[in-house]
Amino acid sequence: MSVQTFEQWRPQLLENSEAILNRVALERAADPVRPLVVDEPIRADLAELLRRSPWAHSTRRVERSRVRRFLEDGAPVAGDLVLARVDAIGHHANLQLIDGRRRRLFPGDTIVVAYGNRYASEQFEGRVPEGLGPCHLVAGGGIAAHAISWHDRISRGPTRITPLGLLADAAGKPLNLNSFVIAPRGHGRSTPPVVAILGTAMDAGKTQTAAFLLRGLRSVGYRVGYIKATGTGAGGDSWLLHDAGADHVLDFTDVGMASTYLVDIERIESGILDMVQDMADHDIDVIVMEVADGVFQRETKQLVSRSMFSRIVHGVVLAARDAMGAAAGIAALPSTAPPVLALSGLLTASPLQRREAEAVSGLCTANREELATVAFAGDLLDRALAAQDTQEAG
Amino acid sequence: MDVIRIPPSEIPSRDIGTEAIPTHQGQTGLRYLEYMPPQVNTNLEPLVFVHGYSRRVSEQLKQLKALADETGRPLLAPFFSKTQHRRYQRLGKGSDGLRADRYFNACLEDAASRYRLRSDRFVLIGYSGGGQFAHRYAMIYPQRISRLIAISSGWYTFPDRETAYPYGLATARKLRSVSMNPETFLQVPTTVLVGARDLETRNLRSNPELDRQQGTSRVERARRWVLAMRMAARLYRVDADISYQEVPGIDHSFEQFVTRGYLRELIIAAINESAPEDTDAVHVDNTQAGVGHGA
Repeated sequence: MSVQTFEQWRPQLLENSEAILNRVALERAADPVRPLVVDEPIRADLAELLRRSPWAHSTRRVERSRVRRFLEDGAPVAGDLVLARVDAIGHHANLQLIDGRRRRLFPGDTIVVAYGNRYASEQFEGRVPEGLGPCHLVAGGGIAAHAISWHDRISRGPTRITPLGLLADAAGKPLNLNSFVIAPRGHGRSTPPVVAILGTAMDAGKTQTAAFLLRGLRSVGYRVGYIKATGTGAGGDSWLLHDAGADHVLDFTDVGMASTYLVDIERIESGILDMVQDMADHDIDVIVMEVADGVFQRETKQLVSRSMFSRIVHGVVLAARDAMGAAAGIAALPSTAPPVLALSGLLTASPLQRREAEAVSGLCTANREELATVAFAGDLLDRALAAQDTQEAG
Repeated sequence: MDVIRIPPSEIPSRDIGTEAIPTHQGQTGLRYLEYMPPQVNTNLEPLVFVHGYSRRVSEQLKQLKALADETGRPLLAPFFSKTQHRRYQRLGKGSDGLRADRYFNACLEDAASRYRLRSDRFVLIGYSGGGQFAHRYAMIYPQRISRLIAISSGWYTFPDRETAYPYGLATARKLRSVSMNPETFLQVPTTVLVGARDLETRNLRSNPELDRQQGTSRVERARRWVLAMRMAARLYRVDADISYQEVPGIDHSFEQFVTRGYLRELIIAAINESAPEDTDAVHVDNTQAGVGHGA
């Protein structure tokens, strides 16, 4: 037997001990609580961390088995997946999970979220930062960005997070939400009619309008789908429409975007067309499509001017907070936009505002209960289809 | 000089050998052993050893004297008696009213003033129950430790803020006025040593919560703790130095670790891997005086 010196023995000891640790970590990472396929390049301790971290609603379409590497450096783009540590709790004290649960956040938690820009006049404006430095959680659905401004009411400021690294595929390419999208089959087939819900601003009552109109249309007997065409990834609106009885629910995340702020209009447009087609694939008769924020907002303004928009949208319901907002919203729409068929939103809570709005616009107004009636919803859809026929005839 | 011997009843092995290691009892009942190597450099960070639950401090210290001889560092070993500091591993309060970490600090300060040693920073070595004490102490006083060497510890405090101390870092109820901050204690260079055959569960604390968190043997617990510490380091973006060394063929025996597991050599190698100290080396010939004096 050869005698080893300590100097020969110790490096072997260190190497063997590390190998043992790696094996133990892999075994523990394979724990079936939340499976994650791991291969050599991803460090075992990291795999364990990913396994234990909650994945935000924005990451709901991601196939976790594609996570094979971890990039601790790099310049993120919107839609990139990031593992981040929560440093301090601000406005967002909860993270929406994939199953809809709002998970309470604590400092020191690690979370998997997506980078994205945010435009929310009642909350934050956020931009995807240039590097992996500390930034913010700017939406409860799991959006990481650098918050550059926020509403005065948000006294605590944004929740602060520190990105630990980007999740990447086996080739080391960052995984992006745009790799995990719906695959509509029937491009070219005729698509269901669309009623678009526009608003004067965030929190004007668009999502409530969509939910109650959808209930009305379902009461008529249609299979109704809901599309959230623009906005920032969050589960709240989609869950509300599920609850309202939507037969199919899609948003921009299903076509690969964490949010639509600062995204090219062509990209948003192709996403909408995919979602509309997917609705057709699901035998939807009529689509309620919500467009986020006010008509002055960058992407909304571009979208309503597109020929695609007037081609697929048969009519518009405009949600406003008051009569003057409604009037200004109608005036702000381009002449090529589909016709506004009715007014709704917060203004309908005030009989006086309703009267003003109806007088100045010549349109009917409908509150939530009215939107959900067979009479109103059926009539609205008839008028929408008639308007489209007129447009096509003209 | 009020040198006293620890009562034989409290030290199972009394075979201290020819170079008797004196024990001091200060005014507040501090008891510790110290050894000044012949070529001592009192400007170097001392080696501080914490004995295990069986409290065979003289015997274990004798085995470690070579560390002091080889490095020129003073060697100190506070003594936690079975009657006074029964729960020293968990930094519990002793019957003298002193919490174990404060008793330890008092021993160090006493030795520092007596021998003009450094007590601001030192190498902390703990065996078994002493390893438990050592890593928990390092979590409270990270800035004092230039390297932590935890040997064959029974179980650990995990770097988990949500879990109550002593399993995790939530100290509010158990350790008053103490905060364990991972961002600082993860910066302590750490070496975890355990015998690969240290699978014996006799004399090993066990309960469902502990076993689920850490495993059922010292080996398993050491592995999981190192993994947890490294994961926490990643989490807090600390460039941590946490070395794991699972020594084959060694069970829960200090003597075996020394004679067959290169324990002394492993400790010296670990100390040498730490950052060099900021000190002016002054060697004092200690062979005549018996006590070192800083220049």
